[in-house]
Amino acid sequence: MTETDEIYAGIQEYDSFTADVSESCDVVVVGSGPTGAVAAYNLADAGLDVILLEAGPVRRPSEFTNDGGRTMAEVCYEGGLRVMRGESVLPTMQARLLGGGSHINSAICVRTPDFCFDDWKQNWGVDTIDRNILDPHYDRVEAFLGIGPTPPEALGRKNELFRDACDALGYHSEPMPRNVVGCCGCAECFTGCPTRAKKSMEISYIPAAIKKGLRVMTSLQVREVLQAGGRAAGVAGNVVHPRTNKATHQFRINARATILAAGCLATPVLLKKSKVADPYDLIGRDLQAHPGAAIMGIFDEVVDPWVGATQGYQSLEFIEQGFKMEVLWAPPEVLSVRFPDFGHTFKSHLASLKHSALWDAFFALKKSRGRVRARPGKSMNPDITYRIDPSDMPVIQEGMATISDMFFAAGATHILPGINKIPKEIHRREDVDLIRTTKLTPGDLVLASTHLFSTTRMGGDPRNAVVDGSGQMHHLADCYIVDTGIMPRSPAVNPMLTGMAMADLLGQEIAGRYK
Amino acid sequence: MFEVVIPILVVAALVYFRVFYGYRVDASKYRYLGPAQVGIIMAVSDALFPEGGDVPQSGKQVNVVAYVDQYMGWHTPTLRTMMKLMFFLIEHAPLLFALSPRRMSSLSAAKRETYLESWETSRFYLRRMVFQSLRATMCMAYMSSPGVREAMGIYRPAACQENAVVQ
Repeated sequence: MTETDEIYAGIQEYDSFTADVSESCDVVVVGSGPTGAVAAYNLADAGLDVILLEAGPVRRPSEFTNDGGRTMAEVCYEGGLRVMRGESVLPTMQARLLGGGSHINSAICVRTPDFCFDDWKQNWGVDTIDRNILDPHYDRVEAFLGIGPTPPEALGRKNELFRDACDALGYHSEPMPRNVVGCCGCAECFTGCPTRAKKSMEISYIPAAIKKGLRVMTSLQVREVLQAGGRAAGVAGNVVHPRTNKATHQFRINARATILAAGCLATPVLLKKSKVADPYDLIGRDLQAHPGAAIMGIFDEVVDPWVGATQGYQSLEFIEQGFKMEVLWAPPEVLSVRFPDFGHTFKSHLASLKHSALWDAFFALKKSRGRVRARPGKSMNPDITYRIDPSDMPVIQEGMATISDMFFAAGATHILPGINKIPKEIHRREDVDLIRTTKLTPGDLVLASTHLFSTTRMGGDPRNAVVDGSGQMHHLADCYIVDTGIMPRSPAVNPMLTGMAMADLLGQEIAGRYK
Repeated sequence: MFEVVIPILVVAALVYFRVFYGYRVDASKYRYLGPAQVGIIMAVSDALFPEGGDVPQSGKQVNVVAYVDQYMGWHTPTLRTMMKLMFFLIEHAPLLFALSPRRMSSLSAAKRETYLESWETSRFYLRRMVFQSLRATMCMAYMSSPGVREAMGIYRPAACQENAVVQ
């Protein structure tokens, strides 16, 4: 038996479901991403009989490929081509496999700054979660996953250049805290960490919880939250084929408590499809995001951006002004979309990739909002709209211009802004001001967002919040939500760690109620 | 009766010939792509990845068509239809945007590049997005080739190679 076999022992997969499934347990958790896995671990640790459900399959190292297109198609909902619609189209990716987003993300673990918790408390009545309450849970999660700053030997030149740029301009910067142990810096986080240094949920919290009695079932697509007498009574749905998503059997899990951790997009769809009471029409409303924009810089020196931690450095210098800056990397075939031109000129750009670095800013926008709706029929995919408010454009432009300034401060010969109405290449730092001063619309930018929040937000008042301070739905007892949808507003930084810390806290509290 | 039916038949025949006729490519080995789509992909590939240059391999040499066919198989029928629609738009829009009766794939190399560049730099957002989606698909296909990646200098650090669970 290999180490890998041992990790996956005890997980029920598609092939094991040869008939309809009917089970009972104390708590059923829907979604095996970071929040669901942490909640399930805490519940199992408390001695409860817990079942963790995942719609996607287990992805083993033998299935890893460095082909970005194939990975997107195989592990993401809607083949990795999911978008939020508005005046512009924002791609957004959600993983559909055991471990959820932690399997494909860059392992970034950053604590939410105090000013966000103050906002949650003052403006949204969240008094059960603040920095002091959450700090012990941050500590627990960080210790469990071995979270620490990216070590110098795993930085690579692209991260070092970012640090140098911040130093030159007097900006705060730091090695990215990540849930990795022994990272060698191959920058393949997205396609599947080939050394298993990244402690994604399927090799960390989930196997640890299985040892405490957790039952895990994959390829089970939840279609309904069961309700009886105003209380949640479990979930039902279909066993689905790992690749085609075709339903083959039905399942029903009866549970004393139901925890939804399917993510900020899937949870509201599930609640809508289940016709859960929503007297103030709040479920799915007020979607918030962190649209991100990247700039590519070209250097004389060889950077080899495929060497070094995928996202190994960050700056929180402008976090209170609404943007965070960080190093970015993705499979080269995905990034090459940024190159302009055709033919041999285009190929010259491809050849210059080894001299390039890509840095991004993502934005916690004040006015921009969206909405998640359920699609008609059997589809469980969300219909997502998101509109960038024109009043938020200046902060986006400032963020992109700041990154551009940083490239020149680090010695880049030129940058490729990738912005419509702006020259394809900028060779002088003075010209960066074009990014600040040109009248741009969201459609002029290439934006994407994988950080999404607030579609089932937490708050004390049932008239403007979906769940209370314990994560329980105001209008459906015994049904809890622990994913990023409960964050009342943006956490300003990458949300995974705060999501896990909140799930750690709420998981313990829920365990206390049902023990 | 005839004055209605005959013009309709004539238009239908013209549309049929424009959409399906004249693609002299063998698509029998592809599962999802027909001759028209193969012709379109080859034409875009020639514009983006001609032979020679800093990355010597051409799109034809690394068989981008085979990858796109495989790529379509990884997606749902709905998404496959959307991709085919994208190819259709790019192929037949010279009527609208280049005022040319020819299809994109039968334009000269220079005119094809000019035409595709008009999508890349269009002031209409949706045109730019369609082109970006096309370029993304083509780049995924081209750069899936180990030879292309090697020519671009992409490698996995030795320490990672040694510690990889799988190669």
